[in-house]
Amino acid sequence: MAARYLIFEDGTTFAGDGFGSPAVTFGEVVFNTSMTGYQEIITNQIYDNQIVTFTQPNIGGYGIQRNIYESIVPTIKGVIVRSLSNVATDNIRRLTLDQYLKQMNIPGITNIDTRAITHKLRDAGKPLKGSIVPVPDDHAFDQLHATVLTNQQVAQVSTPKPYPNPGVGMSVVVVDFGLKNGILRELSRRKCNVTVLPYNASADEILRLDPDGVVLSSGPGDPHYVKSSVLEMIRKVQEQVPLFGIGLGHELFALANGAQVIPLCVEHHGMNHPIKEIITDHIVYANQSEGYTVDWSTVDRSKLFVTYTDMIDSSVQGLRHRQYPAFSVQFFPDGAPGPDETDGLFDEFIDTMKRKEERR
Amino acid sequence: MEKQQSILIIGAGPNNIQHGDEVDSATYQVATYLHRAGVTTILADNNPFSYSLNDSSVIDYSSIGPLTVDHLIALIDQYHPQAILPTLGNRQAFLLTQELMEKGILREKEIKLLGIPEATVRQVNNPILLERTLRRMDAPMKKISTVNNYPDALEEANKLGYPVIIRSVLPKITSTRQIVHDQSELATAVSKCLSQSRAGQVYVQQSLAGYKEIEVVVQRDKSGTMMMLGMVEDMDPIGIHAGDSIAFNPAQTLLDRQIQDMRDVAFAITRKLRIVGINHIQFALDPVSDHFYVIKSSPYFDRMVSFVAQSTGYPIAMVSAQLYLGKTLREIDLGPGFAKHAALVEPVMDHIAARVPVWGFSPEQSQKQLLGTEKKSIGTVFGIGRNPAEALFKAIESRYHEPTDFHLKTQAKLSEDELIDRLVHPHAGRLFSLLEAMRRGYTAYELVEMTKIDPFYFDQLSKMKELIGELIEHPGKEPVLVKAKHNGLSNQLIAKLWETTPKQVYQMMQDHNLTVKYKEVEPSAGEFDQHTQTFYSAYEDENEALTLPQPSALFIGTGGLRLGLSNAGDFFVASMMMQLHRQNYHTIIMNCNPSSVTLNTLIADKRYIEPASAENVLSVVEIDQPQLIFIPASYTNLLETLKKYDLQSKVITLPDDRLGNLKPKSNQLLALDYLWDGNTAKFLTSTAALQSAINLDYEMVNLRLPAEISNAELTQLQNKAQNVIEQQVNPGFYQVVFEQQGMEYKALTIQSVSLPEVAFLSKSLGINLPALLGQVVSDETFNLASVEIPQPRGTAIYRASFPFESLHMKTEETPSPDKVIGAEIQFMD
Repeated sequence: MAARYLIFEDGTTFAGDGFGSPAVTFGEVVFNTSMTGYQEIITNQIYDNQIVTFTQPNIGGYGIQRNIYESIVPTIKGVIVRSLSNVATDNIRRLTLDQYLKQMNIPGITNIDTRAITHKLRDAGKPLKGSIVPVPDDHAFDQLHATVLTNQQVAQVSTPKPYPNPGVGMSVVVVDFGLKNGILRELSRRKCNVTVLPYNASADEILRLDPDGVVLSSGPGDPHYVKSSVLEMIRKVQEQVPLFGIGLGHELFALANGAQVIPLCVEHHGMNHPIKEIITDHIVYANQSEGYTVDWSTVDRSKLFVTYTDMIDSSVQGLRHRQYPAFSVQFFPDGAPGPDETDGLFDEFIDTMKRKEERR
Repeated sequence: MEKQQSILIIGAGPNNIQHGDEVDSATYQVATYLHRAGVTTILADNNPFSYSLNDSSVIDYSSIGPLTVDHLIALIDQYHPQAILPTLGNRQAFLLTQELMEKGILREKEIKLLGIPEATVRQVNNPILLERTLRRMDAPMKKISTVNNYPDALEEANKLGYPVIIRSVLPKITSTRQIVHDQSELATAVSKCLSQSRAGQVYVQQSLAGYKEIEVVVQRDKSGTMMMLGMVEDMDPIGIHAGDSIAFNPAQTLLDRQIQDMRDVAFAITRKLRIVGINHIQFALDPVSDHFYVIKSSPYFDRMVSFVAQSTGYPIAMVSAQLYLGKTLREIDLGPGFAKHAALVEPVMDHIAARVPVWGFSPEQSQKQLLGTEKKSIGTVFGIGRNPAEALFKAIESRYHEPTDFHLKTQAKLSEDELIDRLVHPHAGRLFSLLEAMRRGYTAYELVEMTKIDPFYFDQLSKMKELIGELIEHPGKEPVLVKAKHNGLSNQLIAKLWETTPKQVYQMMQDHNLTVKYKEVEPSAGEFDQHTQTFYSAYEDENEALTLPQPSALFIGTGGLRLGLSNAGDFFVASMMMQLHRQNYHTIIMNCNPSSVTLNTLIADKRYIEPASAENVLSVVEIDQPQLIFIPASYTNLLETLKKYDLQSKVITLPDDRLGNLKPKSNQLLALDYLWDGNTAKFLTSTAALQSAINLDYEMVNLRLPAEISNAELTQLQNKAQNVIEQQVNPGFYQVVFEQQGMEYKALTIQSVSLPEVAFLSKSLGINLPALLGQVVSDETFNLASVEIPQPRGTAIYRASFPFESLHMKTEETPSPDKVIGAEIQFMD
């Protein structure tokens, strides 16, 4: 493995060894404390523009598996991990993580002090730009400083064209802001007849399909940079059909209903925080990946109420509309990776659609 | 919080092959918390090596007596506890609890059970009941059916797929259990088991052999909140006892899907059994079909719970104690050093912990020990690293006091057939055979086929093999040294491979500015600014271990359990640490036994999970600059090496835990035991050897205290003994051994009192002797002469036990002190 360096915009350098693609990469560096599911994390489009530090010490232990992708074309900018295993678990045709990252043109760096990097990111108090480079010279730093990361991530990762995922149950439209396959997997388990639409689909385009319900998918980046027409779409659709927002979809749902969304000082990626369901007082765990959060003080109590909260940082983790059958969660109830304890939210969504159907 | 005035804790009893020291540390932590909450604590146990049993500051009533239901009833009548805690005494405590239930004692005296409902106690004690419950709740269980003839058996076997296990239903004499690998073996097995069955039926049961073994520890509070604390994966497949397998935390070869499914089932079982506290659930996972099966649920403290606690830094015992008192997880504060609600944050790791078994016998003998479904190891050690190989290297080097060379030369001598035999029939030294096989060019897939070990581990082993190869090829070269240190190799091992001295390697590291860093074992993987003061070494950028305030004292733990010492070493070291702690020293421990009570946060202010090698001791001395360093005498190599360095700290050798080699002519032996501080010889008590019932060859394995001699004789012997003791140079526990010849007592020898015996003496006299020694060696103002040694609490008997039967060793093995696995203490009425 060739020597590679992780450099930060503040001038610090960490030495390591390269794996995956040898390309130079730029991105916001975040850390993820999950201990499972490296393949799902790497293929989650939420990491568009980001370089992910795995705090779990070793990844690659089972290579790449054919049935656990969270997207087919991963958009993650880079992978940082302390130790890499070189395993392809199968005698059929499976890839090692290294081979896969090469194919997907994703650079990685290993044999590097990820705990020190995590401490640095935790203490920085703001997102830090970084780059994985072969030589940490002035040129590399100049390039890093000159790099402007796009804020149009959703437009980049959303599907340009509608496509179906047929089923025999309820008809659901999924609006793709950077869709995670887990959402489709959960809907497909519940036999839904899904149509995935681009992020900029209008309310009319959605309602024309006469869906039983609409899911606003998770996705990358700052919700404020998503076209404002999306908020209008949400306001119209929620009046007509049941709506379920996840991740970025939750943030957009909040914005559409007058709440404010603010960036977190340190992005939170993990699955071990206790999340309280307020109405039942139950504590659950779920996959959380968030750079932004709904400002609780701005939630208009005549329209929305808070359903879930993170007990560690007291952040809003779920919202529900008072008038319409519309709700949203900041965390990922589809897991992949992560606990299943909140996957009942998909059942709740199905029930909501059924009740609406019955009332018709 | 509900008020509990007094709680009876049922202890675990003598160590044996199934359990060692793992509950002592948990007991001490739980009892401390209960005591602080104003609860009166009563501990029933008869393990002379228990630390908890000797600490009257947290155990209000230490009751030394047989772990029988009658004795427990007597205790209940004496102390009137409001509750019983059955989770700190292994399976035996559950069986005793059930007896108490069935006798109606609990109901009659209105005694509550903590942590476990009565119905669950019954289920844990009765696998058939538990299996029924689990099947009813649709937990995945191995497939099993009952047939009464061969054709039906054949049909079932074909459905299940070979191998299958055939067992008699209601067996007549001994239970017959046959593994059937293919159809040709089926008829014989079925007819044999049918003939053995009183019901004329046999079970045809799915075999789990070759599947992955996964162990999960979960926790639940009374409000129903559940958390997963750890998922540990065994390297060896099912077929080898989990306690004998190398294990990794966190799991390395499992898909998220598999992990979440097992988590869900573990939660469901724990909810169904209404457990408050911890539950350890074992699963078998078929890597081909992805199906998994529940093997066992153990809702009590065991070796897995201590391994998970030590490897994550999550204080399981302290949290459990609060759950037992009725707190919910959200009400629990882990104290300074932890984030708010940290008790509710599922632990995550940014390091890997590898646990390896410790065998009872010499490395050469152990190599030959075949492994199977019965446990053969007597203890465990663990290593922590930033990659799997590093953790494993450290764990292996933690196993013995002396440097290992990985048995490279012996392995190289094996013929091809011998090697294959060792791969296919796993034995205690299997890891080294696997390395040798890789060196000889076997591919990972061939080895996967032969061993059913996941390919991941061969990736790690191949890295280890390559590293060892590189070292041998490039002696004295810096790049390979850097790589070796990054992967956890000790200077001792590098020196061995380079045919030089560890000091030379150390010098080379200094020359190249290769300095060790210490990372904290912290359960949020760096997300929160939390501190546990538990560290492991890593050759990376950031160092987290800061110098402790003075005065401080570093203790080297006795490591994994050994025959002869059992956990008397842990008792000894922990007692001294606690004494130094009371004298306002900051205590530091270096140890590698996840179950050791010395790694307890209440006893050690700072913990280093490291093999006790000279380089590790030197680096810790550099960081913490302790005034005192305590090292057990058995670390001869370490003690010798440290003499070569100019240390600012005073090194104190802990009494030798190895024994003298007495060959007396008769069995009429008695000993006078003393504590000697250099000036005063303090008489402690007298002990007499008891005739061993097991073997007529006399060995000092069973003791009686005090010896039966008249006061006049005692005074006479004391005069003789005193003179001999006063010639000793170093402070310590000494005994003068006399042999009775006719009417005369003849002084045979003077020797150090063995650590197990010191533990026995402490319990019998009701005083913590190692703590006293701690004060002798560290407190100059202390006057031993003024100490009052209590009279024995009565006549005490010490009976040692041996692992020969469990290990299927030849019966002609002599039960000698160096083969003791555990012991019990009893007071005669």
